[in-house]
Amino acid sequence: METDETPTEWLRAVLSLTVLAIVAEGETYGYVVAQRLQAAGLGTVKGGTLYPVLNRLEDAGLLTSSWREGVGGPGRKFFAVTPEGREHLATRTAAWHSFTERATGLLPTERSTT
Amino acid sequence: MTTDGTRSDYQQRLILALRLKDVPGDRIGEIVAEVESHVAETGEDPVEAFGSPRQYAASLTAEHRPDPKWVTAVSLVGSGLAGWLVAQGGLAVLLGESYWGQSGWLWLGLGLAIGVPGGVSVWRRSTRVRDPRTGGDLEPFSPGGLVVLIGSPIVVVLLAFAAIKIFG
Repeated sequence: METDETPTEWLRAVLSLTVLAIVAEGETYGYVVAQRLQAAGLGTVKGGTLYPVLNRLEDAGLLTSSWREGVGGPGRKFFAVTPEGREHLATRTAAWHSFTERATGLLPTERSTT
Repeated sequence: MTTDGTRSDYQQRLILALRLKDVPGDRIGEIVAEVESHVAETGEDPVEAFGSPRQYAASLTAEHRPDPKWVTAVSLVGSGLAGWLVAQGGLAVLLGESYWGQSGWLWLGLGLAIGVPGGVSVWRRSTRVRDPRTGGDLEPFSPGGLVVLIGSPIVVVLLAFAAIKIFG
């Protein structure tokens, strides 16, 4: 789950919001969400971490899920965002940006550390 | 739903681990189907992707407090007492004798009064593990198990009755 420079707790803090953002782009299922997170450079998120996050979002009413038949294999559980999920994503994204800006304001610039 | 028609060892152990954590049957079905679907898609080893069945079940139920130990102790003692009273009462009724100076029916009734509520609560907790993809059962229902559960005490009482009639 951890890339070279990224501590695990950073990912833990932002995983739920990034997963919500991926599903908000379009209905999708667990494996694709994991691939998207990896492609974005957030590292490998294992099934044992990802599905509890998806289910918590669903329990909170931010996502809905439905099983669809797979081709030649077991079905896939598709997740879709709810209107509440979209609203939550917008407010939390704004909060995340202001939070990271404040943190960045405290940190030395990259040039000054080298 | 697996290709060879049998549920893998991992899934069976996961069902058991979730059962032991008192997770409702429908929820267990969802969790097991998610694991199956993910593993089929990625080709990963389930232990690698989700951890051992016990670990995964524990992580999913971390916020959920299981019943305290005394509840288990009381239900074990209660079911033992109920079985004993039903057997003694039943035997007394069959032999037409009294037991501890009271009619066999009284002991039989008392045993049922203690045992039935416990039995109902166990039955309620043992909801079906439904596969959300097919609506079928993930755990095959075993009529044999039910026959053994209900039949064996009856057989024991009847054997005791027969033995007393023959040798008594």
